[in-house]
Amino acid sequence: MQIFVTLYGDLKRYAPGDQPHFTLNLDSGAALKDIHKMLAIPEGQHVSLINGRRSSPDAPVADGDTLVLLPPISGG
Amino acid sequence: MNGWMGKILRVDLASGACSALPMEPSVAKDYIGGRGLGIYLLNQEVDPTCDALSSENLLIMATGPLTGTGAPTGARYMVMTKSPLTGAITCSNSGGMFPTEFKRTGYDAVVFAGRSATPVYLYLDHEKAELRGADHLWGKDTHQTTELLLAETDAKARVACIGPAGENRVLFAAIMNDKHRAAGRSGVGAVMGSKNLKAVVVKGKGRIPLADPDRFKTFNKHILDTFQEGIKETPLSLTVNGTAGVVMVTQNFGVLPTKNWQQGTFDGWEKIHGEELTQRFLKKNSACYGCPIGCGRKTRVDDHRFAGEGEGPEYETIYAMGSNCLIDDLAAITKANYICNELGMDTITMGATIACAMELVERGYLTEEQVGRPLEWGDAEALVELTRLTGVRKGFGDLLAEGSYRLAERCGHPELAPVSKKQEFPGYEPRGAQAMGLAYATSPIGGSHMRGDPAYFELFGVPEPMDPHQWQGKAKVTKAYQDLSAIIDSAGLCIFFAVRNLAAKDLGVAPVGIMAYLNAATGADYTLEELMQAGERIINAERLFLTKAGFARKDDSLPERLTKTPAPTGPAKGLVCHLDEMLDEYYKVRGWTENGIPTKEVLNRLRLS
Repeated sequence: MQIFVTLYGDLKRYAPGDQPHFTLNLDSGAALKDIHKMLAIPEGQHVSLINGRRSSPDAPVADGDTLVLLPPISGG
Repeated sequence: MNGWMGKILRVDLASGACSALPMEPSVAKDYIGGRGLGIYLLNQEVDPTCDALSSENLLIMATGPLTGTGAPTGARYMVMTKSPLTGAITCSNSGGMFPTEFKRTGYDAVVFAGRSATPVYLYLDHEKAELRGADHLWGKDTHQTTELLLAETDAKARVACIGPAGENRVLFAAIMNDKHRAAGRSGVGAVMGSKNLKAVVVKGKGRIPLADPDRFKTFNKHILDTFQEGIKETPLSLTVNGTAGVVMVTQNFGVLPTKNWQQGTFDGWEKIHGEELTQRFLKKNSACYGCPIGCGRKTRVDDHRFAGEGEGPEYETIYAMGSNCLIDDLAAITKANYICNELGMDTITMGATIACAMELVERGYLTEEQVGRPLEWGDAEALVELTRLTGVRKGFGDLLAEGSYRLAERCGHPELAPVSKKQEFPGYEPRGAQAMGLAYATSPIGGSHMRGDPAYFELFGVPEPMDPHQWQGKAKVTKAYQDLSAIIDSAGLCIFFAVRNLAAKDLGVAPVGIMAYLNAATGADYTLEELMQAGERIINAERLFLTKAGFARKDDSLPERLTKTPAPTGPAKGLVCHLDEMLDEYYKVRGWTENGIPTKEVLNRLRLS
């Protein structure tokens, strides 16, 4: 299955190529934590949104999902 | 007294008399200071039904017991008055250097009563207060005024003043201090202008007395060391990109207000977010007194169309003047921000009112002839020109100066104004962040996020994340954040530091760290229960003022565009804000009637009867 990933802020350094927007091909049944592991992003230092919803590391991902990883941000 | 200076300066603008009044220790402990002290004084003296721009209204500037003490972000003061924009109370907060310098003059607060026959400014040189003529300053912008006043008083003094917008009673005129910091919301600058008070200049000396300096120093070191440890690996986003970094969050959660609050996503967001500001315009960070974060942005725009130099923009400005107007030109947004600072206006209401005008034109309810120029979505030059006209009430600016509600009402369509209690919202869309809708509707000052900010738990995940789409169970946590904000605002701290670093994660954001600071500074021996009750007391004291002014459940409202029309785009697509359901829950949690009126039981418990 295909997952569309975007990394923001400092997390861009974990992108597999030059671009912070990329596609990952995964086996079905994968969870968010599998993607974190694949990209070598440590747990707990970011916010993961699957289709715009904050998701925990155990959350499953499905074909066509968009995944956004944000650094921790506050203020406003 | 310690922490508190123990004195309140009262200035009768009609007679010119200045007198020092004692701060009662019991009032100080029960209301803390700042915002709490302000509502205590307003309730003592101001008729809640009075005309906000009449001489009956008071203008109060109040510091808190931690202002100027060296507690991290202890740099704030609060302006309290009845608002001409909303008819409710307002408490408008600012930092910088002015509040600390003010407190070093020996007073906790200054109360301006009545109205001067001619323009004046207050010069407070240590404890000596003097009203001086300000005819030569009238008409000058806030930067010119500040420079002239520093030249004629003391180069090391600090200035808070109004610009032409306050003089012209623009209903969302701000009081600017240290040139770039704003007590921005609800028209506090218009009240100052109505009193013919151009500026307050302060020059203090000495330190703020502390009850237990050693205990204060030890606790302060512990808090700062913990804070520094926490940012060792990853610098704080507020430091790197300022509040403008929030654009990335709200866009991705689908709560970035766009096109006059019709949707929560903006295609051009990457051109207006914090990284873009940092790369293109940031010259250096700026920090308020005693702040380890430094979220302020000293910026410069070289683009010849919008050239200028100053501070900002903040996230709220970027939403209001950017996505909300479909403007992706960050240079124009920054320039309009500079103009607001120089003329002395609130950037949120300014941007939101222009967005409302754009929709009114699009729908044919407002003509180009009335506006005096074309006004289409995304018109960056119109944003800058109309902002300038508003501050001096020229042409169409005279109508914009009344805010979006009165503008839309004049056009026969008040439902198009994105307001609660006639005040425009900050930049978080309640269809995708439900508790934010409850906070806007129940804020005592109308649309505001700073009187209890659910973005912390719905978006930022502090202390723990809550599903922003769910409305059930949000009333209790919103109340807890509102009470906490009342304590932060009254102590003289900044929400950006205090929520993350001085509240307990496991006790419903209980203010444990603030209590430790307050007790070391004041010796008042607050228990946690007493301090939390003080927060609740302040909220209820404000609600009493509103109730007497005629506000009730009908005014704890949001526009139907947010409660009846489903979000058309983004992660919140298909959702509406469930305000009515949350209000039922909220009033129960507060112990108020179904109509939003505090009960006798609650008032007795809080000693407000």
